[in-house]
Amino acid sequence: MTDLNDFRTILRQPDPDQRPLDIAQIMIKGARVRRRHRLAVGATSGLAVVALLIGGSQVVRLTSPTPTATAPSVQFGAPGLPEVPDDGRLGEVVPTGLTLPSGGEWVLAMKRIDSPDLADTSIGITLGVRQADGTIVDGTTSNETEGSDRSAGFHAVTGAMNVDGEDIPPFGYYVGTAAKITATVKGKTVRAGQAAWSEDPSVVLFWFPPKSHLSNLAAFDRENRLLPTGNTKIGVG
Amino acid sequence: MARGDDEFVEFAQASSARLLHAAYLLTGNRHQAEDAAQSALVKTYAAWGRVRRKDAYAYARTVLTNLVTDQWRRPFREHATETMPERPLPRDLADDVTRRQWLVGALDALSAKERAVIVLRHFFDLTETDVARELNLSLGTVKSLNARGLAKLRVSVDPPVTAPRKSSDRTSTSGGTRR
Repeated sequence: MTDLNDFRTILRQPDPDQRPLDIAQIMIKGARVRRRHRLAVGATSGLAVVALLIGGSQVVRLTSPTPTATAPSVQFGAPGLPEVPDDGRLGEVVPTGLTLPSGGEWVLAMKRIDSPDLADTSIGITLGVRQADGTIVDGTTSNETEGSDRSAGFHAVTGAMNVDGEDIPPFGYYVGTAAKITATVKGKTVRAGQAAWSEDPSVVLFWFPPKSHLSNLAAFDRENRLLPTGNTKIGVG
Repeated sequence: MARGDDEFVEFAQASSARLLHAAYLLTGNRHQAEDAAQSALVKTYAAWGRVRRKDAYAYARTVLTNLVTDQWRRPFREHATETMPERPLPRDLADDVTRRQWLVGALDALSAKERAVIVLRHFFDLTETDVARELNLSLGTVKSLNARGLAKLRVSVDPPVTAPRKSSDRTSTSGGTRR
């Protein structure tokens, strides 16, 4: 038998064959990921938009429609907090019916993406939390970084992950006449929750319950015919 | 370079070797370990704005663990045996090369979950509760996996007479997975 302390010492013994990681390369790749998971993008206002984090201090409140053309259904700012300009949401916020153990409901919305690096991408999808008082805290936004954001098929699929102790439900959007979206979870076919985008019914927002680790994403039309898959790559983190 | 970038470089320089070593212990494969450690740092840099003021190392460790445990759900995986091949730790503890070879072979004989629990518990020194949270397993399952893993590794958890065991270090075989 080996003593536990000896074993721990061996575990922590430096490995001389280990090659150092290329930190510059890591930062280049990280910057790309950061662009893909844009938290918020300032556009017409010309102001930097505050990144809204789950559990963070900045919140937006859904109240009456705002007069801006780009974000017709939301108004910004909450009592006691600085005015937040424009969160870039497009169309109606979609309730998922999924609640968080800590309270609140996961919601989805399409979001405006305006980046000079992404010529073919103008929309993304964002996951947020509607709290008991109606305020919405935005979380992760995902968007395409290669190819068109409106080509037929899946887009911006984000997998299940755990952020700050919260299990994030997988989500994404599909472009096409998807009447049913499914994935394989633990060997079983599971149907996604889905809703058409208020601004364009050919865009379908979808989601699965937290901890659903997806494979074999598929979309079907009303006649149960398989539709094009597009980009089914699942991003995490 | 932005100030945050300077901080990240400092963080990465300080933590990358440890994360890479952990990745190697978790995967047993140098290429996979480099990919996983690099990906963990890539994601940490991508989230740097919100993790730099928190525990960035814990964030990177969690991402690394998620990347490795994600392999559990893939169709091709190794199947660990219930019994450990007789390969005791060499008596000559001064022989670092031999000890490393023993370690890699010994960890390879564990199941993926046993291996992850052992590395998180004994390399990162996480509590069993933190390991359970990190791996999304119940506490009882973590205790069971830890005990089984150490037994397969032929590691004795009996403390020296002069060092009484803490209650949190006790192991148990009860509990089930939440997955």
